Amino acid sequence: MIKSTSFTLILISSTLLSLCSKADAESWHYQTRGFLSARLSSYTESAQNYGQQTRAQVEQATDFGGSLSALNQLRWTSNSINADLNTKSTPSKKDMYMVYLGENYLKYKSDNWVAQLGYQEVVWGEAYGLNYADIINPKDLRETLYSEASEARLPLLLFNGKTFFSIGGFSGSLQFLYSPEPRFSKSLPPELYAGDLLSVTTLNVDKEKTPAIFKKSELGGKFAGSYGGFDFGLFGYSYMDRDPHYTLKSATLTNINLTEDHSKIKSTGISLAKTIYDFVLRSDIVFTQNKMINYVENFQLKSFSSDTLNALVSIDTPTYNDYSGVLIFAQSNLKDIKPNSFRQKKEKYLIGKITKNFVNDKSLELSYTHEFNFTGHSIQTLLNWPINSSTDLKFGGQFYFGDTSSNLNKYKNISSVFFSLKNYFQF
Amino acid sequence: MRISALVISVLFGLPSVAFSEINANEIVKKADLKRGLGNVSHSFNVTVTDQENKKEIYHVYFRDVNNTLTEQTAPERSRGRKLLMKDYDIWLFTPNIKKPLRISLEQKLTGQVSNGDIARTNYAEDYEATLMDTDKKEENAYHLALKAKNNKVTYGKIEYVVSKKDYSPREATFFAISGKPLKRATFSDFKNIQGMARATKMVIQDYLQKDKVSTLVFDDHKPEKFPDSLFNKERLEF
Repeated sequence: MIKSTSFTLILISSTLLSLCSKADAESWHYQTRGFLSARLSSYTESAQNYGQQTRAQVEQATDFGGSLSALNQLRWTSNSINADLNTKSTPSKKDMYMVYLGENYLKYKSDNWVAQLGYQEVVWGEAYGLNYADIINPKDLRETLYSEASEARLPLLLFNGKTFFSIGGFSGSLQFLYSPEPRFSKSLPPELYAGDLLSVTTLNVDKEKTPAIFKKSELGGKFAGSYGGFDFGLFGYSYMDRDPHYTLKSATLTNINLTEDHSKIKSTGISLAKTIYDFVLRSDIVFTQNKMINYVENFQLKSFSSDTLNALVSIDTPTYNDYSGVLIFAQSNLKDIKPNSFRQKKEKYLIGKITKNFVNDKSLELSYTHEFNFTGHSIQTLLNWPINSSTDLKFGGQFYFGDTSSNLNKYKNISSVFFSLKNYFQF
Repeated sequence: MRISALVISVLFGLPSVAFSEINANEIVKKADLKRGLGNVSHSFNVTVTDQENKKEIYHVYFRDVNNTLTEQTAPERSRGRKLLMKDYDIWLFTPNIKKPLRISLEQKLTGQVSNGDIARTNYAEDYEATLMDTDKKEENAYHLALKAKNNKVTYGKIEYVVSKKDYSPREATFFAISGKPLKRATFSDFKNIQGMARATKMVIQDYLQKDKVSTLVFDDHKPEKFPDSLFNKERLEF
């Protein structure tokens, strides 16, 4: 009931507005557009032969002729990755297929400020590829590194207000975010993190439902600015952890039932970007308090609270003879650790990526990720081949291997070659 | 002013170069006005067509040479891509990444077309001009060498041919900072826009691979005032 109120807030304000007076609507502009995409993967390591992912999105953008506009999106997705990674349980239907409202918001733009109300996606941080500062929206973690970031992000109900100012050569902004309805990431199977720590044949998880609107809330903001070739952002957000931790509900010799839980956490961070000659240096540093981590002690599933510090530095090279590159170093540290934890105290990665650009937006990408501590590797290739102005064809491969305790090796079963087709349309 | 400069140079034996350089920069300023509305706040559209007849369309918000915002409107896959140039800083916003990313100035937009070809078109602001002494002179045209004022601009050097009759630009050859020739452009289709005949077509050809050609058609020039915040990188997501 309460949920439907939140949808009504958005839909009454945008969709219904766009359907009312025809006379007024003459100065309004509508555009309906979207895409259909399908990807087929052939697994190289798994007993499964093929994996698939299909997506569709339809959106209507409405310009009400002045400062007011609206966006209404509907998304559909089908993804076999959860089933392909799952070894101990049968994923629910919701883990395979999903129809949901994407971004649905009303936007008001003035000369010096913007306000946006509704389900939306907000992205912080200066880095891309791996973005520790992208903390606002929950993610669909079934999307692997190859999906576009927009495809992994799930919209969140937000009031988003931002004001802009400039003083001499300095231009800046102040942003305020409030969410009355926290949402959680669509997580991967828990055995992926637990490994052999939960040695049973069947593992079932009761997912935590999204809290009712106004029952729990989230609050935060960002101050950002640019001056003399340098960008910075200072931000903080108090929110429900997007990632789950688990508590034991019941267990038999062969069967464990877990309950998913999400705790309240707070993240603060700083992001920086600077152009040095034709190189761009980026950094995101995020400190998170009270993150819950699972561990196993005396055959009992337990959890502890720890602060985390995630830091990333990357450098983009300029384009020389149509080649460009990016080098990323990322590290995630837990302040505390327990034996048999679901994650390591320090997780360190070095990522290198080279892109060769051809004419007409065609490109070939090759990237390598090295995981330190427990050594893990990932190699990814992608040939992006737009066929015409509305259709993209992609061929690629992603391969994960290394030490059995490494994070990258956990994705071994989805090592694959794939091709995908994406078609954009517009009415 | 010119007469007094001449008198002074004759009287005091100043090199004639100083005199010709002043003129050369004036010529470039006048030619700039034949390729856009000059340093007046305005907006316009650019349609870029490549050798395979693939089209990309951009809408440009131009406040002055140091504040330009380019938004791509076609094809559909690239709709909503924005490029903000503020002084020599440049940010790219794409709807999938959903946040502005600082990039370097030399990034290409499409085919043979650089960001600077679309949004930073006032050569007088970025280049120092001198009249060239060349054997390949076109009749009734100034042959100018434009040298980059700093290494942040799109090209290291431009060889520029401007009509003597009305200062209309005819052609330009663009060189990298290293001196390597990159591409050649011709200007045509002069139309009356805001009271002056201005070029509405620019054909850019790769210097070595002559079959790589991009045609830029400029239209819908409108004088327009924009708020400061339109050129704030934090506003690109809206």
